Amino acid sequence: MNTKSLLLAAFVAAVGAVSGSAQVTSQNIVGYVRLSLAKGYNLIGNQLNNGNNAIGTVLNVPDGTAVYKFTSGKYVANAFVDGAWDAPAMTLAPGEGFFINVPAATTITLIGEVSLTNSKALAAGYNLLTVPVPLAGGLADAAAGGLTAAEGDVVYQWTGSGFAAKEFVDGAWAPSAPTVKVGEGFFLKGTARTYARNFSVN
Amino acid sequence: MNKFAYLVVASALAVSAFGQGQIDLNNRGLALVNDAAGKPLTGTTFVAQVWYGASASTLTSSFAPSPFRASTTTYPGTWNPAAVGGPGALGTLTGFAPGSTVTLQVRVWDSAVAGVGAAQALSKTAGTGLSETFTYAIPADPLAIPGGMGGLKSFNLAAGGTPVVPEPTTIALGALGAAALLLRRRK
Repeated sequence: MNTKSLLLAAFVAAVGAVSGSAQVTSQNIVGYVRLSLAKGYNLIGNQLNNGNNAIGTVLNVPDGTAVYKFTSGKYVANAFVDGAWDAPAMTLAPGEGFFINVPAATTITLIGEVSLTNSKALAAGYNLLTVPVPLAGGLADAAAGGLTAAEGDVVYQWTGSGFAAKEFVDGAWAPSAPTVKVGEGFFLKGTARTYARNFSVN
Repeated sequence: MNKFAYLVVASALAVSAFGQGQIDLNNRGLALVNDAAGKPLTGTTFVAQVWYGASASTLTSSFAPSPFRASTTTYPGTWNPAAVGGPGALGTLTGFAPGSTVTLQVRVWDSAVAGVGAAQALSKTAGTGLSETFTYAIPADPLAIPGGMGGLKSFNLAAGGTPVVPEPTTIALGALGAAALLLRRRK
């Protein structure tokens, strides 16, 4: 997967004067994430909220594409065949990672609003995630991924043909701290807890 | 405990936690099923059922039959496990742990024909299809995306046309006719 473009955000601030001196600011950050996908399996995630986040509204993909989510230790598959998704009710919410298998190299664009408040319950064991906001950098950095690492955590990142693992043992990442690209999905194996990643315009 | 031992123990725990292997029941993009003339099969009354076991002689477990696709499909010759009534795209191989190998076979028949099913496919009745047996090595890695039908070889339905199996109503009509003839002879 080659991330072509970071978020091109259109920052819409509607400012209105209310009750004389009071000022109310509405902050909505909308934009898109464009991802270049290689033929075959790519591990990506949704980082924008488009409302219902139904798979058919999140992804615009060529016929023959298949998506694999990972839930309760098992994969769940959904294919786009003959112009329709097998399971159109499947959702891809911000923060969810998933494998996508495309029949040929293609570029997809995910459109939506940056979700400012994100809290995801992590199950003990494997979780397929993405950073819930379109930021690149250190997964455990407060300014990027915002993940609070716990002892024993292992992050698995897709190389295109397999996984590269980075573990958090004795209070440090080995062999190095994981960094993520915009739109990248990853597996996190660890203890049950909550992954909160809020985003502030300021 | 050093880091290597920690990882080994953690991996073993992870594998055991998942228990049973998964399989992708799709043949889309893989070997096709053809009609008796060799044309990739379409028609939603045709169904494919995947049977599995530890060996070719113990294929005692199966998934729900999957219908083939409509004649307008881009993928003729493939069945659709995700269709309504099907087993779903990914199935769980009961009794087979990640890392083990399972033997598979596909049986095909026309569900619109009364009295025809997996048993008739197994005996290669005309109009049904039976794949060669093949194996699938279930990945030991719990993060590996399941495969399954990679070892399937294309096969055709058995020639000879659709078998004529009398409907129950036809049998009843025949019995009534025979009874009428008997009564007439007695008179």
